[in-house]
Amino acid sequence: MTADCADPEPDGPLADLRVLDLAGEIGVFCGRLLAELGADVVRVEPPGGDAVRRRGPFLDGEPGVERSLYHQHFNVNKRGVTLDLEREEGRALLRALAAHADVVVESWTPGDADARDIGYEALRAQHPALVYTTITPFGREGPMRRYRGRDLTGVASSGLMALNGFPEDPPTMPGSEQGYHMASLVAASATLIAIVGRDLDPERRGRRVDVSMQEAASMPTLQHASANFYTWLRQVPARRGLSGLRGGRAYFRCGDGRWVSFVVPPYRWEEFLAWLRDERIECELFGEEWRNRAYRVQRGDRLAEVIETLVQRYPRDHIFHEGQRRRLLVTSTNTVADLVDDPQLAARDYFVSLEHEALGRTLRDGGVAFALSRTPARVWRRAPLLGEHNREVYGGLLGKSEGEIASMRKAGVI
Amino acid sequence: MSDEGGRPRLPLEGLRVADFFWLIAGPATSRMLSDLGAEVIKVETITRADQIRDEGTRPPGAPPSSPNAVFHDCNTGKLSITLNLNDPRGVELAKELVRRCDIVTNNFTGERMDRWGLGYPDLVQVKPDIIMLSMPVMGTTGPYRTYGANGIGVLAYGGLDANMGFPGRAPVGMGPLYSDFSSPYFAMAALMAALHHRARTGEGQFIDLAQAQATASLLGTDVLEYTANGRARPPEGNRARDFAPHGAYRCWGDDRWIAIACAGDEEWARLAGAIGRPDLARDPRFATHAARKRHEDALDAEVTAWTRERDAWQAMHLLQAAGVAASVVEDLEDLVVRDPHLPVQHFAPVLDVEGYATYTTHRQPMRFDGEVPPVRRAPLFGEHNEYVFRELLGLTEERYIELLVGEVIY
Repeated sequence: MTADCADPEPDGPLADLRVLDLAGEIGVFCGRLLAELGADVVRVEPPGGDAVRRRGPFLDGEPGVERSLYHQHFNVNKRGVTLDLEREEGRALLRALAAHADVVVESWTPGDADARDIGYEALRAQHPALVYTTITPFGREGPMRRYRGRDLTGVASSGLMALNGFPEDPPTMPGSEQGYHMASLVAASATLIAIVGRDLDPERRGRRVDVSMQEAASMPTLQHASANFYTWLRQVPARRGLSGLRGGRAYFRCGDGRWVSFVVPPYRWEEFLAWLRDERIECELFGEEWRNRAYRVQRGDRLAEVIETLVQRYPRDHIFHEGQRRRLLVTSTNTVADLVDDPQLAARDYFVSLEHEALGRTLRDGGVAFALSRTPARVWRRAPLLGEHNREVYGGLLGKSEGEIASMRKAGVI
Repeated sequence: MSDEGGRPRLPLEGLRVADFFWLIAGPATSRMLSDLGAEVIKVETITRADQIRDEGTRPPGAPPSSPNAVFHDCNTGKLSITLNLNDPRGVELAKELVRRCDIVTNNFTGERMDRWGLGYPDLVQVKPDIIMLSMPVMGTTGPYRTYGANGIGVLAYGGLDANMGFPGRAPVGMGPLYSDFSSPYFAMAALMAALHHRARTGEGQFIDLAQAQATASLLGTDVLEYTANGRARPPEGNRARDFAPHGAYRCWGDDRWIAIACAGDEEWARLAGAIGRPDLARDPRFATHAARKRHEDALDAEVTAWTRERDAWQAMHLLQAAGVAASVVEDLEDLVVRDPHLPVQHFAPVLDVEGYATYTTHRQPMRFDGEVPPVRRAPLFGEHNEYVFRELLGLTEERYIELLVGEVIY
């Protein structure tokens, strides 16, 4: 089942908010999250298109500013305008747009926007209710504030990468740019916290929001590797391949060659033994000493051998559902191909299909993370063509005449 | 922005939360509410304490009443009450609490809140504009809604384990329980959006967040690439199609690495210059992006020849000075001690109530008007019973003691 995307009217909880999205790859998912929630997110790009449109993968492997699937994924629901910020006319236009916005999201190198008079101070002076969000690789302050960052440096500087991989391999980066995702996700939350703070404030003041990818991506690190491992015990957790939290193996290959994650929680030991019994797997795990949790933790390798014996008898899906029936923490290790056929995600209308008439294709993609009962967040519109909404935004919003828009276009401002 | 005393006003001051979360992802969400100024009242009971109290490292030498590190990291600044929800009087008190709250949270699998009579339909009777967040692993709908998993399983199910690692190897799996600390930000965005809608219309609502689904929504372009181009992105190890060089390069010392992500000919020429090999930029094997991708093993070997003689921090500063995106692959000791920014800016020492232990905990990774929200210690078990039941709910002393003795406030 696929969500119905025919309805063009945004009715999400942020339907009254307008966002200027000036962010690069580090922050483009932030704008998508706000747009899913119904905000009017206006993506502002240079006249030739921005770096996001130059990122792969491309549709059918052929590059082109409208063919980037990176753009198609991260810019759904947004409107798109072009604007040359290298020229004063362009910067004046941005200031005019900001006066009509509730939120600005940008990811420029700290100091650069202020030098061009389009930074927070310039925009707030005309609009004190503005929420202005900056996303940077290492924060807006500190000695590394102007250092360059990409997704890889985000997962490296946050400690996330050091915890991933087999000991014999280099530290291994997570898939799908989790540094960028965490930076954007934290930025979307923080932006909306500032919006709620404005709602709660009798004077409706906006705030300056500052998110560092390094700090944002360190949050998942610090659950596994609480700072106190070091401050109390001088322990430094390292990458351990297929292991779970306490070193016990967590991933196993089933009879059909596919993988599951398999965790026996301490309070389900008897359920696990019952499964072994039903499978007539004879072993010492039935012994009294194995009921002691500490004893089991010390013998994780042996436990893993027994789990392996069990899971190798059946295909993955059997192990997944039978494990869940027995209330163990067993899940399939899904690939993308598994997910697009997953009954749970389908039942929750997770996937969306968007007509892209200019490409002549229907694009099927993942949708929204959560469901709001009264004001659903939705993916309902394909990503904008380059400059698609120039007339709508500059004419409708700023009241520019057709002639003015034409001369701005001719001058290369838009 | 500050109140009359000059203390900056936190963005969520004035909100109150009845918090039925336990374990990690849930409490990490409500911790954010608490750090940002909301009054978060964590509800536990002796017979059903937060299981995460039994996990993780404990402060050396501290008494058993001091929480462990994980519990502390997930529960700073909250108030703690004990309430037995298997007693109908406990359920009535919970409803009285909800009547005074803006948000109710839980992450139980299945219909536990409903069985207590504290489901969303019950709570709107008490507080019509309540916002209720439920975030079990699989969500509250769908055929697998009763399925359980911890963070390892959520990552596996959501696709973030199978989409990383080196070609031909077992699924490496994300080391940290990534979903436990990414899901909270989705939850936070949904809660804030719902609060904004309530501020405009007076309407509350129910938020159903499946952690597995939220995790799948972090797959970036992987789903669209598969559906549109008919081919899944192959595992690339530390390489990425738009970049070269791109990877972790071994540095001087024991298991020390630097991450370098270089795009385009110009940045590559800067990198080649910074490592004292400007000739490499002219080498036909490395002259264009396409050529560098074709000879990536040789390219990585050239970069490694430079990095392995150097301290990772020195290498990072040298490369950044040349305008190349690079970072030490930081481990926990780097984060807490060596990083130029995080030790003071991101971590805060918090003393427990009796002064036995100092918890080094992270702050929220967000600044408002230049300020990081302050961090306050996590509560003792039931520490705020008297405030919540006597002051907030207005129980008489007699009634309060009766409920204590009756194992309702328990």
